Amino acid sequence: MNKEAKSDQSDNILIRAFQRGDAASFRDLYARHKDPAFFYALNLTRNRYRAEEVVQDAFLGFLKNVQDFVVSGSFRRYLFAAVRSRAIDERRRRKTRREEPFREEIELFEPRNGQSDPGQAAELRSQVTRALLALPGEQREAVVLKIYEGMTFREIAALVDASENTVASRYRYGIDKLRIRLQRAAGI
Amino acid sequence: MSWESKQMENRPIDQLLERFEPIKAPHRSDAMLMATAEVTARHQSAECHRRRWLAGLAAALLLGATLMISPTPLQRNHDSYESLDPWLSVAATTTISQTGLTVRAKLLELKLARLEKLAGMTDNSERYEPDLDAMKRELETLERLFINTSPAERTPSRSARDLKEGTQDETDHSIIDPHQRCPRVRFGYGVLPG
Repeated sequence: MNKEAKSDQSDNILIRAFQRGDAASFRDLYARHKDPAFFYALNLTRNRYRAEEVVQDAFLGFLKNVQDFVVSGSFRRYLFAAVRSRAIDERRRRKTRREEPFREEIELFEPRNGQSDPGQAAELRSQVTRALLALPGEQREAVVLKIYEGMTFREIAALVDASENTVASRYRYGIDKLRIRLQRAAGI
Repeated sequence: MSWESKQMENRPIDQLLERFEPIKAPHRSDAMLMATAEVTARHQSAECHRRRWLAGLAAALLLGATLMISPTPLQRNHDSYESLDPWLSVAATTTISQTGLTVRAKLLELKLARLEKLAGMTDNSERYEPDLDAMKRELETLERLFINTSPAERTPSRSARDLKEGTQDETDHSIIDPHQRCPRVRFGYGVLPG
């Protein structure tokens, strides 16, 4: 059994325990998934507060429907689908209200293991963040899910409701653009 | 060549991206979510308890219903018609209502197959040859008595029986003698003999 399958299995055990009334199980489930969900939401919304709101809303949705929640498949896939759906709804609402898009300076990455960041590494980190945020949303989504979540193209396709080929193309275009942008930034 | 350039040169872009650790979620919503989870867990616990209680109740009802209709000695029969004959086992349940007027009986088990099988066996037939017809008649009598019969049908009133049979018994005071020209009216009915 691979690592992901084990993780899914233990998620399902936690969900069943929570369905029986064990609040601590939810704490573990939340601790396990909130960071990846937040990173994904941040890439979708490009705003920390909106990302936080979207993740919170997705977990609240799970809590609201936990009684009827059928444990099948991966909880992370379920959570990411909920995050995506809420992020899209939030974007539509903003469009309807004709709100000006609020572009804040966000950081997508942090120093590894909390260690102090050498100046050059911090600069590269910042460049990668800017390059990722400059990608079209769909391409950024494919890159983030593939590289940071380790999803296959098939899994990404199921999540974003597109064909596998489309997702693979988005990923390739995204990677190519990143390479060009980062090479330019690095002065190659 | 700068450090970044070297990095870009040596590694494909996806490997470079993997080196960066995604930012962690803030903790602002943690407390609210945990409080909601506590409430949900309490509700879930109560719901689980309720479901278990209902399942237990359903199981008890099912068991009770099974015992009520099951032709086993476990059931509480008011009347049991088991072992009418060593070759015939009949179990009957009778429910007597509080008024004592209604008697409902149900024949639950008739092991005719066993009876016929045993009757057909040569070894046993030498020892004992049951009268199948007599037993069936006896069974039919039992059925008439205890199955789907209302009290009225089981103990018909005199008038009903009279209507059915077309006769009147000797206690009736208005018997017509076919050999007499005029009806013989008994004393006490205020009618003088003709």
